[in-house]
Amino acid sequence: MANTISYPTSYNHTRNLIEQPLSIQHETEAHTFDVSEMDSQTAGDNTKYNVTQAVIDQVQNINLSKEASDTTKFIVAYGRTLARSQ
Amino acid sequence: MPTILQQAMNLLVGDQPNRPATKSSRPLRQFTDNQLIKLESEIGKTLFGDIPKGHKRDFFCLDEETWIWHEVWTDKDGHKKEQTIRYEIHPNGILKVDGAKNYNLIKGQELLNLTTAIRMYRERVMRELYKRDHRTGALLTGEPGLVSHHG
Repeated sequence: MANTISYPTSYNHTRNLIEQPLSIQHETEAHTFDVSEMDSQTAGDNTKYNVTQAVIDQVQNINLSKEASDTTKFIVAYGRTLARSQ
Repeated sequence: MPTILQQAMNLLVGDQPNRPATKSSRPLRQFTDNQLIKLESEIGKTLFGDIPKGHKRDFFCLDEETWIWHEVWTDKDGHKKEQTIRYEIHPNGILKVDGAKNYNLIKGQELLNLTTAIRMYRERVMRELYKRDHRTGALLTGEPGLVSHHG
C-alpha cells in the first residue's frame, strides 16, 4: 500500500512505533538537498567552518519542527475549521 | 447510539430505507471538533501499517501544537496495557511527553518518523476527508464534506 510506514514484524508493542527504525515509503513531496547548489570551493571543506554534528542536528530539529508546526496549523485551518465554517 | 462513522455514512446515503436518501452538500458542518478528530484518526492510525489483532490505536492532531499517539492492547499475561504519548511542537523542537514525568525533545530517527507521519497525515486527511488540495487548501470537489472510511 502506498504512503505506508512499514515496521519490523518483530516489533515489541511495549514501545511507540514512532520510536522504531522504520522503513518509510513516501511517494510525494520528497525533500532533497541539492549539493550542486553549494559553492564548489566550500562544498568539500566543511571543517574550516567548524560545523559540528551537534549544530547540524540542532538545525535539523528546528527545520523539522518548523515544518511540523506549519503542517499542523494547515490541517487545523484548512481542514477542520473550514469544514465546519463553510 | 450510532458511531461517528455510521453518522457520517447516514449523511451520505440516508439512515432509513423508507425515507428518500438526502445528501447535504456540507455534511461535515454538523460534526464537532472532537468528532472530526476521530474521523481524522481513522486515517491517522493506518499510517504505520496494519494494526495487530487486539490492539486499538489512535494517532491524531489534537490542536495547532499537539499530536497524540494512543495505543491499547493486552499482553501475553492478559493484562491490559495502554500508552498515551503527547508530542508538543515548540520553536526549538518537538517535545515528547510520556506520562507525568518523562519528557524530552525528540531527535534523530524518531523526529524524522514523526514529521514524515505528520506530512502523510496532512496529505491523506486533506484529500480523503476534507476533499481539499493538501498543498493549497483549494477544494477538490463541489461536495467537500463527503467522508471516506478507512480501517
